[in-house]
Amino acid sequence: MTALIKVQGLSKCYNGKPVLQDVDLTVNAGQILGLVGPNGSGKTTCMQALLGLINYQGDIDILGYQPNKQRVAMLRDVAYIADVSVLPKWLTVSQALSYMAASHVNFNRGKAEIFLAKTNISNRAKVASLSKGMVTQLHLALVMAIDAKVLILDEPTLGLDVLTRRQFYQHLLEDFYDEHKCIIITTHQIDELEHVLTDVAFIKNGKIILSESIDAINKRFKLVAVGNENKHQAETLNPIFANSLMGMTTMLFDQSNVRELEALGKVTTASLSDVFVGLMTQEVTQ
Amino acid sequence: MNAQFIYFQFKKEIWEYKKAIIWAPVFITVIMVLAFCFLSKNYQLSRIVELLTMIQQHVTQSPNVKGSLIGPQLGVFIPFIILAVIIQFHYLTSCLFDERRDLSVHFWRSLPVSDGVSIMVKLLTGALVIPGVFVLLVSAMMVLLLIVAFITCIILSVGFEQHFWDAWLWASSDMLMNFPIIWFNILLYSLWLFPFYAWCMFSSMLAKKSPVLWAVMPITCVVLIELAVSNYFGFNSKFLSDIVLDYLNVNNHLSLASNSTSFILPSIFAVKATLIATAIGCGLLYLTYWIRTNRSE
Repeated sequence: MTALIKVQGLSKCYNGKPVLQDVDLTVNAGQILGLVGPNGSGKTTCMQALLGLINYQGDIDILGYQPNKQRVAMLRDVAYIADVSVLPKWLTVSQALSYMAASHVNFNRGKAEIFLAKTNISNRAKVASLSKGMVTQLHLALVMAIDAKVLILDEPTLGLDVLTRRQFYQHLLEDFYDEHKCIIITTHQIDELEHVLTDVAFIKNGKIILSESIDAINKRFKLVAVGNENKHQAETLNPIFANSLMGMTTMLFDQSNVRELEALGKVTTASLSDVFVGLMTQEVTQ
Repeated sequence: MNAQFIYFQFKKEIWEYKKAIIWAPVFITVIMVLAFCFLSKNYQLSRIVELLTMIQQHVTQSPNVKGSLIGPQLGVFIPFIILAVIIQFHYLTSCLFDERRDLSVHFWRSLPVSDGVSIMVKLLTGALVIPGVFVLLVSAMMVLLLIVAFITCIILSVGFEQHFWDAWLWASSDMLMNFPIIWFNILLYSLWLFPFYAWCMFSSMLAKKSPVLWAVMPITCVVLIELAVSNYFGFNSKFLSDIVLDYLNVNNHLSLASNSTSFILPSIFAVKATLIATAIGCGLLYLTYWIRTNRSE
């Protein structure tokens, strides 16, 4: 697999306070990586560093470019959506298409127009007159018409309804993604993304605490519904998270023997959000 | 980087500030034309003939018509110059602030357009494109008025058996000859005011709220503090205020050149645009670029 993004020892401080600490990350062609973390964990700072929008310490290599020194050249092959509501309100759809065609060498106006033809967005419409869902579609049309190898999405569906969110990811997979490209998505809505992602990296206090493929996570983390009679015994196996509700305790175990766990209660594969909650609250429970 | 790329960077700025850059100058042009029509309607025919006779005599007596006509020509420009300065100030203090306020800076910076290009395009839009649009419109308006006046001369020549039109044609040709000089003046005018443009852009980049206040308040505060200090200690001169006022003051140069029939503005701007002021402007512009590149929004 070809590594499209290589990050080594990425660190960033704001006013002496570390926001990113020694982040290592590799994203290969064909991967869709979810960078997941609570508010203030350093996700957006990490994305900004990847795009060369801020200075940083450490090494970042995206398609052979160093973002802090070759941002403009890199952005010809890297597309980016910061937030769907960042399109300027005064811009019309035709102006957006004309500007993109003149400013971006890898932008295919025809492709964007085909995508927009499937929607009810008029060419003469101003962004200000579009609904949030329509602005998302427009932004997506602009980005998907770029022949980019790397797509970086920072909270792309924030504030959108569930239907629009699903449409967004559906278009992303159908119209943009292939095995030669990679996508990085930062989000809070991991439940919806679980079936979209191939890999996930959890970030906490500026550090990557877990970076694995979805398959590996499914094998590694198990959720056990433990009855009160087995609770004490289960605690001796060091669950990373425990939640008691209506006489039943749910415990999350990392790399434990499945047979041993089955003796304690019903074992299920932990969802991504279970693992996320478990890892983010680990210090609190221990 | 090709011509189309650069063209669309300017076009983007015009799209965004269409009301200020296009519609405001068009509005004032229409007002001026309507005012001219209204005044002409109430002007007595005998007084028009009198005026034309005066111009005819002036043209035949004066060997240098160009110099003598630049005054009235500039008089027509004055309302446009005032509005252009207001719009320039508005544009330069808003151009970097507005895109941060509506978060569209994230979109623009996600495209392969360098921050250097963005800032230079904004500077040139404020310094050259805005006054350029005004000069273009006022030039068009004057050409239109000259054509109307020429037709009037022909009609009057038939009625009064006096050949005003040849004098008017001669005067018109000289007025048209002044336009390239006026266009050239925009460059010098921009060079002269470059430090102020750079200061406005710096304020626009720095401000989290109200960039106009950021542009005006520091200068006002410095001047007031200096005034208070000089009054308290009884100093005769005020260093910073004097520098700023001297830089903006063109009265001395205008009075020195009042006897000259040549077009005086180039010489004023050439004297005014000093190396130190230009260096300060470059420094402020670099700071603007640095903040845009390094600040996380």
